[in-house]
Amino acid sequence: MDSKYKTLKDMPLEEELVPGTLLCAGCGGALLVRIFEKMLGPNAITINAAGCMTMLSVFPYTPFKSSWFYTAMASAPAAAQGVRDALDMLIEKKKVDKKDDLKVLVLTGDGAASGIGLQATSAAIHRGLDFYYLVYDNEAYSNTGFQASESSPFGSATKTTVPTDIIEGSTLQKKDLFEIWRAHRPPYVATISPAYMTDVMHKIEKSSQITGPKLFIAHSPCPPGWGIDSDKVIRVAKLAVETGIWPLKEAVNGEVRHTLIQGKRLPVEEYLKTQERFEHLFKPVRKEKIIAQLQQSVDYYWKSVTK
Amino acid sequence: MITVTLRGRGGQGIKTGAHVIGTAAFLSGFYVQDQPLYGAERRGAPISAYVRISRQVILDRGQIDNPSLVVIGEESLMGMASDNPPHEISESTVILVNSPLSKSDLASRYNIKNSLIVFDLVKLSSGIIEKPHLGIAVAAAACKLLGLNFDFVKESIIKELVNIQVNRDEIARNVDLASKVFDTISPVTITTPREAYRESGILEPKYHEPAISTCAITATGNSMLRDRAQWSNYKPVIDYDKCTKCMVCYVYCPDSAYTIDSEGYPIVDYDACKGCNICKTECPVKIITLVERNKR
Ligand SMILES: Cc1ncc(C[n+]2csc(CCOP(=O)(O)OP(=O)(O)O)c2C)c(N)n1
Ligand code: SF4
Ligand code: SF4
Ligand code: SF4
Repeated sequence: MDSKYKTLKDMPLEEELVPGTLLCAGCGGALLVRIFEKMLGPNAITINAAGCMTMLSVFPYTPFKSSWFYTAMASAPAAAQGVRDALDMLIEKKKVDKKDDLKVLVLTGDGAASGIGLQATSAAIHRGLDFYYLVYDNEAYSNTGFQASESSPFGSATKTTVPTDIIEGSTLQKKDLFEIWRAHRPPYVATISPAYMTDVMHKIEKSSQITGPKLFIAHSPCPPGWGIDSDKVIRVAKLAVETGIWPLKEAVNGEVRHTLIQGKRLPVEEYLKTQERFEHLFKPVRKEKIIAQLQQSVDYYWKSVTK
Repeated sequence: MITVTLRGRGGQGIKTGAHVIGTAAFLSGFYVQDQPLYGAERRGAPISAYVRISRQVILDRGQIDNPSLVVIGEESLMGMASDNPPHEISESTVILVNSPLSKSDLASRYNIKNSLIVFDLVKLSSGIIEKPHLGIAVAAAACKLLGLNFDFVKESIIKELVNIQVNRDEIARNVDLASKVFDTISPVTITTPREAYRESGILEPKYHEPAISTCAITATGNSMLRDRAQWSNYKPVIDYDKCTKCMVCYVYCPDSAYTIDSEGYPIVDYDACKGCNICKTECPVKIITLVERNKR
């Protein structure tokens, strides 16, 4: 597809999120929300399930120039259906002009997406709801203090998976939300990374041509939760892609295509070492078994991709 | 009843500080409430926590206005007329601040007429601990002003730090520092405000239309109106002679702090910048430097 967005310089200059939020300095999720809102433009309504991003709007202040709606943790996709239906009815009754129609964006964390809100999303995709879904995957329940979610990586430390002498952080595997969503055969599902912004722009642009569920899973470094300096957010995101831990891909009607395949991948530890949540894998002694296990699962993934 | 409000930044341990004061008072035999203001306690963001201490069962709830004592974790939080929620002090409120400045400098800079106690954590911690837990240190200072016994303060610090998985060596160092801070502070008179509940009885909430009783925001993009303390003591400054107008800094700023001028150069709005330094790290030609902000 010939894209309007060839380099970073093609990014729309209009901001839909003004400054002054209470989110952490350097929040990777907030950066992606900012870019997403820019790309969708002013005619959008954001349906936000409880999580860090609901701290964007704290009464009586909001950074949003467009509409924003706060829902319970499990129900953003259900609320999106209600909003879409209301808009459609108003347009049909000629109470809202077609040109004033709004794009419906569901915004949730990974806890809501992979856990408590999974059922509502499944239902919305099944019904073919015309909406965007952006999950900022910070790989834990960040808003409540970084407890483990279904999306926390194997071996990572969270408030509820504290490494001890016998347990090396999370003993459970990260849920593969891309595959869970893809199994529904939505018209569009993609993974994105803040370190690859032209890829982000291409994917949003491409999905905007499609009616139906348009789903995005965004790697979203979280400085306090991951134990990184706020200025390293993009570096860490880039390493996740370069080590192959965070594949960049899309699936149109279920057909998977990787948007970036690297000739040579860096060892996963290059990524792990940058973050305090994996520090116990290297200190006081290297936990070779866990590191090897993490490397193997990445190698296994890419073996199935390239062949 | 004595009421204490603590102000700091997310990540400094102000919430733990409130627990330390609360637990020390509880161990001393008082009824206690201590809680952070939940909601937006983000790293670097201004946050508050509250403590109520009384000889009687405490029936008051919610935020504290006109506290007996305000504890301020760092000077940059002093200039705010209000934080979140609006935060009032009365003439009798005692103010305790961690700052390297002298009492008279602070009083004149912020036009403070209240009883003011200043201590310099950087100075006090040197030789004891490299990264002192600010919340613990201010709590120790506050406990001294509240007239609590250090034995209870120490027990409380250990309990709270064990809870947040701080290691034994760090706990010992923080206790040492707390003891030093405790000894440095001289007591002052603290007033006890009246208890709202005992004055007025139980308040029945009245029904209000949803338009009034729900938190609907009808304004758009108004968050710059929030009275915000600066988040960082440094700001990114661009060497425009070498700028290639690549827009990397603009794209990666999570806080929409950049705009692009008519010639394509990036401009930072320093009121919007939180000092995450992503732009500095990502600039491909490395021409963004950090410059200390003029203190307010
Ligand atoms: C049903 C329900 N349970 C618990 C909560 C408390 N809660 C608010 S935000 C949150 C964490 C959400 O995690 P996630 O979706 O990953 O978003 P993040 O916090 O990472 O932004 C929790 C548990 C809630 N709001 N609703
Ligand atoms: S805790 Fe993490 S995800 Fe939440 S606002 Fe802070 S950086 Fe963002
Ligand atoms: S330091 Fe962070 S918040 Fe400030 S302008 Fe740079 S990227 Fe934006
Ligand atoms: S990243 Fe550096 S070179 Fe590029 S526009 Fe910003 S300041 Fe100029």
